[in-house]
Amino acid sequence: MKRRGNDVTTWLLGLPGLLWLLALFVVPTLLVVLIAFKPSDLYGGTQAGWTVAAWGKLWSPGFGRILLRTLGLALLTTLLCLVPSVPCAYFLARQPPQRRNLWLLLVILPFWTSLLVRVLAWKVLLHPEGFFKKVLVWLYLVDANAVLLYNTPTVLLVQVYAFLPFALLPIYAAAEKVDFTLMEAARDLGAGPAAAFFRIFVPAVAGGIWGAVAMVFIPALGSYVIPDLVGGPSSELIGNKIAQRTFTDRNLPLAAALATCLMLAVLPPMLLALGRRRGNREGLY
Amino acid sequence: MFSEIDKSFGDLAALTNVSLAVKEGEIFSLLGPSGCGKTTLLRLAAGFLFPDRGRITLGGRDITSDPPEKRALNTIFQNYALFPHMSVRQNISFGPRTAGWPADRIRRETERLLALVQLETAADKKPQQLSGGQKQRVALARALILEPKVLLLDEPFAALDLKLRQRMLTELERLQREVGITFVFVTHDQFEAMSISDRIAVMRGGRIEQLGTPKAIYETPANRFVCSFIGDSNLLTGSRRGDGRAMDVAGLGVVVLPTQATRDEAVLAVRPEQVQLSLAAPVDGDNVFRGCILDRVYLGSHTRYTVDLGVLHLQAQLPAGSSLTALAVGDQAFVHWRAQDGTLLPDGDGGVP
Amino acid sequence: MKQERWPGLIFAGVLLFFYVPMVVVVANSFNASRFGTRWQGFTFDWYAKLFADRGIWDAFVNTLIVGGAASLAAVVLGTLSALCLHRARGFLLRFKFGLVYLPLAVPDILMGISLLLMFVMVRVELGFTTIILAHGCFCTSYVAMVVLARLQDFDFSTMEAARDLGASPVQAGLRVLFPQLAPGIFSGALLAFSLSVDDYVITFFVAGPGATTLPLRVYSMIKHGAPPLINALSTLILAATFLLVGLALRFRNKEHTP
Repeated sequence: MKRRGNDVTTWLLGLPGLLWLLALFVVPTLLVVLIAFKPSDLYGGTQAGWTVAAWGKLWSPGFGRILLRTLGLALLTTLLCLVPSVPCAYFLARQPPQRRNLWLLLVILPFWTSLLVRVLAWKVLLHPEGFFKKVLVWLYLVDANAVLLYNTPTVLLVQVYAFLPFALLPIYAAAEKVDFTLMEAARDLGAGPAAAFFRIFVPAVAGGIWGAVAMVFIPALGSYVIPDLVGGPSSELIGNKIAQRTFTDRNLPLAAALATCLMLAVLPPMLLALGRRRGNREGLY
Repeated sequence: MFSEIDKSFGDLAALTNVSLAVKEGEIFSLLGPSGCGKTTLLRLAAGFLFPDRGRITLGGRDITSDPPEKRALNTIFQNYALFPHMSVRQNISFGPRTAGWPADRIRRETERLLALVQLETAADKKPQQLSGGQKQRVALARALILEPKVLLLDEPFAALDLKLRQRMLTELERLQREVGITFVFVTHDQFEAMSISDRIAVMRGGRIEQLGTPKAIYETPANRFVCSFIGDSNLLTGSRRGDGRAMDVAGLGVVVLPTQATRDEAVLAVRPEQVQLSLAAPVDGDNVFRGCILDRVYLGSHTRYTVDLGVLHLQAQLPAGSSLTALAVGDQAFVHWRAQDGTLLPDGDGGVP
Repeated sequence: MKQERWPGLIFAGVLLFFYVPMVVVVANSFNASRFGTRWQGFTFDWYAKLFADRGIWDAFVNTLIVGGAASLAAVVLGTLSALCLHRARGFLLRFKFGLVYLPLAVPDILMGISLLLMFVMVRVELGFTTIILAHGCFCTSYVAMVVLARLQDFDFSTMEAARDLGASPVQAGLRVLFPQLAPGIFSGALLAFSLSVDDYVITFFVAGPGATTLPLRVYSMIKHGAPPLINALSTLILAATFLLVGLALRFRNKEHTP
């Protein structure tokens, strides 16, 4: 009886926040799907009635290419982020605590640094007259006339740069809890260092790796800033298309249809991540 | 204090028709295995739970529906529940500050309690910097400063190691004598309950199985459950013979009972320390059986033997220095106990309170 | 036995990868050369020009207002929702994931477009208000997540102890629960603030004419060129971020190690 009273109070206290999130997240998200079935008008709004016109416009080889490019680039980004992250997490977890905290800080800082600033940094580096270009030319790795910016590999490079901390931190969080005597036991039983690493450490941090996949793959699918700033017309992703439909042609239903596609693409990895390790994200920040 | 308490969580009945009265100034223990309802009972007393039925009174006043802050009793939590963001001194003065005592009285009382639990030197430390025993003393001081009528202690020694546990037990007894407050003590450790309590309630499955002094509970257990929960026991089951002063144990023979059996099936409990071992057959005849030493465990102050009597194994315990400590596994020996040392259990299993 | 060298080398490589680009930006911000191709002497000129730019100042002030308002709303609403959701079971657990974790997991662009569509549908004029509302949403989720994590470590028996010692539920909340959560709430607020101050994509979608924040400004500077100025601005942003994050982490660590 008394207890129930407390529960009601807690609910009343929490209600404004929950309604706030409901109104600003759940409602708009559902709205996107609805608007995708509305006819557009010429003034950047929508008309009454329902239509699948927006979906018809999507059904083109051009859109298929963009969808495939987005998926492919997101997958590659994820893979390239995971490869260095696992040994780094291993290295960090085996450091003595004092030094580990310093190293960890050096990983956390880029995690929080403005994405724009970090993209800018690469624009400066890869600038036709930039430092990086000169080094490459000097090493005879690229031609003096090569253009390093505005192509798909550059988008990939900058995405890896941007999302690497997102991959490293969850894997580290898992690595921190690994019992390293298991690796010693494996060595004791005759496994080489590589075998111990791949057969003991990697499976032990599998949860963190899945977390990292979600943390990189999901934002990579929705990437917009990076292809817009360092990519060219041949490296546009769904994100760019959404922005173009919204701001260039003011065709909101088409933008909504694109967003719905992105939502559908994002949904499986998201459910996977939420289902696998519920508290995973909490440790990250 | 409690009368006819029922409490259930969903479909699970945690307490069924429990009534018990704790006397003023005594140390009272609720003893039982985990899940027996002892902690539920304590939380009902403290006011963290409310009964579905029944009343709780304190010093004649009905407190059944009072919230915890209105009850004149305080609790020592199992994990002590010290406030981690406050120093020892602030932890202890929390109650008085909440109650709005005048500042100088708060200061005086806090210092008095710090001295009582001998923590003057640690007064400005944070709980995380204290050892387990010190934390417990803070919890004690924090609870005692409000001079409650009853102090509730929820497994207060569970987190301490054996040595410290014994020291804290002694200390707790000293404190109780000094402050003269009623202690209600929840534990699953029979040693703790036996050594400290004036009276014990043995609980199982949401019911009280037996209520009495440690001596009464140990020597005249009410049923098989109490008997095996408190200390070790040899249990012999047989069928009543003639007038009920003896029973037949299948495969063993006639066992003489201490009292008259009233039912066809009788259960006799014999404590291991009451079983005698000898190489030659004792002269006087009751309850003498021949067996073979199956196992021998040296425990310092005494040695525990397991004797194979064919149909059953009997535990016997000899004090250190006994002339028979040379008995080895495989030796033939006689076991014997005096008829009056056994306890005839009133019923087969317990169940009926 | 010697420790394997490879992981350390890879980690060193990753750190270089992280920091070399940033160092180049910082270095160039002091470079007198207009395009930063060659070192032409040390200068504060770009900073002087930056501080003289009224537009940037206005954007900066706007950013602070948005970040401040959004994180303030987030602290109150997020903390209360976390308290409410902490004990959620079954059906309510979906709320916890749907309202707290999902908004943080969804790509920014989806949140941006969905909020824009909603604002257009309900005919709210785009501008300051819409930016604050949008930021308030993800900041609230963020604070709620941090507080939920804190609550997981919180020993609720200390609340019972407070009640036992005579505190009313409200007193127990204010004197036992809140002080223990405060460092977490504060560090959550700082980080929510830095999320808001950094956000470009969502702001871009919901910003109306006239409401320009620093990231919007930075973006157009990157896109349309003004390299030396943007280097100087980026350096300042980097410094501010490091300071803010350092502060937030200090707070969080202080809580863990007494």
